[in-house]
Amino acid sequence: MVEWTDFERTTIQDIFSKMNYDVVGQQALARCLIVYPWTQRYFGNFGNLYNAAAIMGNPMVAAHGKVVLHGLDRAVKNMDNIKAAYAELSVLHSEKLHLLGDCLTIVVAAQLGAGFTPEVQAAFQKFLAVVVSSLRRQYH
Amino acid sequence: MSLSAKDKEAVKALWAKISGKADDVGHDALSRMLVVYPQTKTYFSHWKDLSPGSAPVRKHGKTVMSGVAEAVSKIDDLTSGLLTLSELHAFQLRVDPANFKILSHNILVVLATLFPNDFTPEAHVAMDKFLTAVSLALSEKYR
Repeated sequence: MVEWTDFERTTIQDIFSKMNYDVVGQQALARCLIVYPWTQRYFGNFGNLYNAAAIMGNPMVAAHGKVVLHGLDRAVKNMDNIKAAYAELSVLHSEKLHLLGDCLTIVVAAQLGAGFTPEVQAAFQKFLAVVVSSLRRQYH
Repeated sequence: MSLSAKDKEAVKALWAKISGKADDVGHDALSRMLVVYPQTKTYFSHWKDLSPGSAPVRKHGKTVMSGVAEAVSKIDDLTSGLLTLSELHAFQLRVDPANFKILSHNILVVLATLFPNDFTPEAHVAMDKFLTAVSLALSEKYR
């Protein structure tokens, strides 16, 4: 069982309530495919991923980014049992999810600027670590 | 995954934009590392104050960033350029090289917060590669 402090709970709820899921989802996934190009392996049917501009403009990337962020919502709404919330989804996911988590951290940091204090960063990274670990469960 | 000419240009271009705030970047990155990855505090048990904004953290942030600045200037041969720094980290400081990744991540986060428009995905990948190469050069003398 993961223990959350009041600060961590409030911080996570706050970040996601203010977030534009469509923009952040697209940006995080596109950034992941650009910064860690080997992740493109999982998206063979997405069409043109040949360069950064193509990736940023790719509508399938944008659509999937949205799906990912809305998927994260499940964890935001069930912080006390993220493992159970992702039981079926974990069958679909990759071992390399932490790379997407890193890109999401960077995108949210850029959005919040000074508001992304070290304490907020700690809460956000802890949340992502729990999500990633729950989604990898089916691999072990 | 060595640095291409394009990567080096991107790193130098980004560095030109951020070097004015290098001290702040160093201080912020170090602060985040100590807060978000508390196991790294063990390296600084000799400091009176490990909190963000404290004098030792600010001073050390500057030291770290001047190392990064040196790396930028020696980007064409990091292994020989950072030899002395590698010896320092290997023989005296004995920093576990796993921590280089952690500090690098926090430098990237700070760049995103302070320079959201300049820290494009292209700049991000070049910087990530550069910091990885710097970390490798710093690990050179370890064993």
